[in-house]
Amino acid sequence: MSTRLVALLTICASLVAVSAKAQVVTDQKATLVVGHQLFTPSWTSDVMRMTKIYKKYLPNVEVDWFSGLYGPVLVNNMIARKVHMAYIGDVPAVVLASKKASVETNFVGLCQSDKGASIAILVRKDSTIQSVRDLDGKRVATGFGSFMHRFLEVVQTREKIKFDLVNQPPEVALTNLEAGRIDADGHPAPHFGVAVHKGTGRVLTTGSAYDFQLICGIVVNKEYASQHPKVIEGWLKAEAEVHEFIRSQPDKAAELIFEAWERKIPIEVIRRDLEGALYPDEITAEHVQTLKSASDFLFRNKLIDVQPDIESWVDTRYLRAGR
Amino acid sequence: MTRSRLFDYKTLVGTASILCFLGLWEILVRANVYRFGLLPSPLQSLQAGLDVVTQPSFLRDVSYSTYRVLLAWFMASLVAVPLGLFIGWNRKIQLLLFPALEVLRPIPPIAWIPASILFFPAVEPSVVFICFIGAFFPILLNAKTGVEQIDDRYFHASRCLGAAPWHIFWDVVLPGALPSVVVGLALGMGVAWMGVVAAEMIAGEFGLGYMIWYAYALTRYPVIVVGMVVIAALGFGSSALIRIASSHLLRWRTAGM
Repeated sequence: MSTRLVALLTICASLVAVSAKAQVVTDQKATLVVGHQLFTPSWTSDVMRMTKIYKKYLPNVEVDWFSGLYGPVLVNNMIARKVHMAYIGDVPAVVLASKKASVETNFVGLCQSDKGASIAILVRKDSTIQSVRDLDGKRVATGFGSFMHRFLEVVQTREKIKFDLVNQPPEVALTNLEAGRIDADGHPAPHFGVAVHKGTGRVLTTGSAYDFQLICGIVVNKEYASQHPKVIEGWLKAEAEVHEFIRSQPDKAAELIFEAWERKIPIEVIRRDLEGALYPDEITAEHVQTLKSASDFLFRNKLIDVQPDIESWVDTRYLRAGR
Repeated sequence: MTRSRLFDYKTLVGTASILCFLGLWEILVRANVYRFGLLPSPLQSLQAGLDVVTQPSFLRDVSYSTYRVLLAWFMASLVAVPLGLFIGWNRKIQLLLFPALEVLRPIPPIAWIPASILFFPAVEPSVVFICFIGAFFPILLNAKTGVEQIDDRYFHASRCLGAAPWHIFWDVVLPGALPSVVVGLALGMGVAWMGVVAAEMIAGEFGLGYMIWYAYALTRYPVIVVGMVVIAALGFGSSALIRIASSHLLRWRTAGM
């Protein structure tokens, strides 16, 4: 661990300690299993993991971090009740909401949102494809049932083109792209940024060009939340503090994330991805509409059997209580 | 199958065993014993199965997986059987090749995915290669072991009688190792089917392994069970076919007893 990082973590720990007593939401003893993704932007969870800001509000809560490769891994572990809380993209979150018969959950907060800056369609650097329309009939990989999948549907509709879509996880898709098996790849940050940084990929377009709204939220097990409401409240207060930390000190946040990922993602990529995102502290009507769009997308494509009631699934009481 | 064969004791006990297993599973899910309530019950899976098998995509998935596994198994057999026989028979070949193969053997098929994507120019060979790797080593090792288990006196006797190496191979090595080779072929078929789920992640479309993986992503658990049952049935069926076919090849064993 670098000296700079140690210093940074010491500052964070001091801040936590100084204001600890005044800020405690509950001193209840509890264990909270938090799921976060490795391959989708949930940068705030990385900052939370590194700084342990939650200790300021929840001094006696033991947090077990569960790392899932993709959203569906977290969804399945939420259903299996192994994970109490998950940082998850809008589309997998709605898949989880549609499984009310298996597990009851609530969407309680946001970790990130943006207008498409964190997603892109990537082609090989030497590809002859110059515009999105050139992708008509071409083979494009994405993760089915993800917000990238939803985005690619928007692109096809808007451009009046049709992709030959294949369902591949990012690590497989990016290798396939390099090997020339697919023409383009649609996976979120940090993947496309890493490929560009390595010099193997070129961004054809980002979600920003389509003003595509996506969100990454915090979903909790309803039973756990009803038993530990103050834990959820305290966590969301900590999350808001992480948001403020990223907004006010993006370079320090980038360094923490760089270390959280064991320096495997270039820090320049992290910095750029952090800048492109918003970190909302409230769930607005626009965010609820995004979840409804995700639900419509899943139902229209027969990826879920029943549409969840998004309005009742989104529960803002913990955010309100924390104000 | 004759009437007496259909209702013989072994068949009845086997059927009862499977029905008891399914009944117990249904009860455990319905009563939500431990965490069984999270799993789909046999009846739910049956319902999903009926939905899945009536879709045109199902036949396509079965065809793709069967083709990939059979091709992988056939190619693995073509390479691993002669190689295993020669490694088992010839000490020099064994010293030369076996250490390298032993180093590669513990690598699970799924770990070969990145290399196979980069190495092969198209998707299908990459998928087939993962299944090939699964099938290759059980076939190779059983062929090698089969030769090593042949009584040395057969080799001495044939040499004393002036048999040429080719005759020794044809009349001693091959028939002597055949029972073990057959076991390897059946095992290899089973492992090739095991590899198909990981292998079809590369393809991103079509195949029973892909169907399971996709159902996992969308939390359609009964479909996962359907995929597992179909793979099990196809794996069992194809291994059984190998055993039936081999019983003709090995008739001399029972005839000589």
